[in-house]
Amino acid sequence: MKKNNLKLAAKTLLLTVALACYSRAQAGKFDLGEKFYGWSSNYVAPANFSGYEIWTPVSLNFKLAGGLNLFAQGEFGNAGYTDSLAGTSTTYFTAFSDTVAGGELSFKSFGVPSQLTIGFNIPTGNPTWEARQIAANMPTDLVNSRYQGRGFGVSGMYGLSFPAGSGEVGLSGGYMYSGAYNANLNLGPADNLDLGDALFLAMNHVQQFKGNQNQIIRLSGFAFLPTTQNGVNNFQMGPNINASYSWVNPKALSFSLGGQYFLPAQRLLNGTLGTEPKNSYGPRIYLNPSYAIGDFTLAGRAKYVFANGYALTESFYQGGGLLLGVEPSLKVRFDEGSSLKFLGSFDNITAQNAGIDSLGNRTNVTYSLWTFGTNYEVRF
Amino acid sequence: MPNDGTSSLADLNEQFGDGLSVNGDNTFTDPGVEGSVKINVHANVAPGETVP
Repeated sequence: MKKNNLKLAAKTLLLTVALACYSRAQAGKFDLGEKFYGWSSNYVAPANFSGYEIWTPVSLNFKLAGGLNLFAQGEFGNAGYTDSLAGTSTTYFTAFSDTVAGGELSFKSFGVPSQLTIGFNIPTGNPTWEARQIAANMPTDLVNSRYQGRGFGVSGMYGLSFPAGSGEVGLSGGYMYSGAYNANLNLGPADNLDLGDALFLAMNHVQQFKGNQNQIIRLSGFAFLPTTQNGVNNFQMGPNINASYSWVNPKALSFSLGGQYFLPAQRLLNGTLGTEPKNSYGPRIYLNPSYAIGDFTLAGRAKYVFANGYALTESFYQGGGLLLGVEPSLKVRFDEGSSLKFLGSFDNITAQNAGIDSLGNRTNVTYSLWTFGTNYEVRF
Repeated sequence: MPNDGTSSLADLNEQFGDGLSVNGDNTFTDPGVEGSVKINVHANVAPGETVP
């Protein structure tokens, strides 16, 4: 009851702030979408690992005077997750997600364009959703989770942009605080899960060319504080390093090519956190090409996750996998300020050695994921 | 083309937001926290309920 009152108060506050911003906004953007996800796997009946999700994402963006840009976003979801953990059954959810709201302030510091971004994760969602969807879900190494219902969080990033010849070089640092929440893992009486805070450092080089074409080179890294459960250190992700190259041509071929490398994590060893003997996370690489013809875009995606450092017989083994997807989309413009986008996609996902066959040997699990949806955007 | 910092700052913001989203999931589904459910789900399905 108390939680419901808090959620109602948070939603009322958000609505009040949104209305106040709208009355003072110089410009803004409103998005409302509807998107369906449906997937199945190659498990043999009566086993069944599959699911569907229907999302209604909504976001608001206001540009105010003084270089301040405010934003808020969330989504309403209706989903069913089928797994064969203890007999085959389906769990249904209908709830709003957490709300992410914050602001970006643009100004000058050290004589160059700068930006400070602050975001709040407001726990308006269902904190048990993510834990209870896991068995039916596709590997999140390959397909990101679509829902977020966690604890209160704050993230902040400070960035600077320096001129570099005919291009610009950006540098930034960020931090994300994650508050504890009850994820319903059923592993303890209080079951407070506090995901480790994250530190972020990044740089990029952006070069602009004729016809709004861009080349972007990125290098970034994340480091993490320990994740705790009921106040006890449980796990700490190793730092990771990311590098990517993007070529953006809004009227023809664009692509993004990148990779991510993780250092070993800290695990509970004899009651204390220590560096794991082998690496939990395999490196990953991706290529996302797209081709635009007017308002029609055909996008593709390929992602490969290498197996981690553990042997096939060890409990922390993860075999990685491959995702191959295609996504056509069409934008229908009504006028200069509003448009409706239609999109659909198909992804073939292979989780390497994630299942066992009838002889007890490890074998691949494959998923087929279909999506279709629409998004209405209006600028004011 | 004018270089007013907009492109590089917007891209840094995107890296930060996307990175938090992806890494947050990785933390959440790690075997040490919760992923053991995910991994063992696929590894321990009864013999009659296997992938081909």
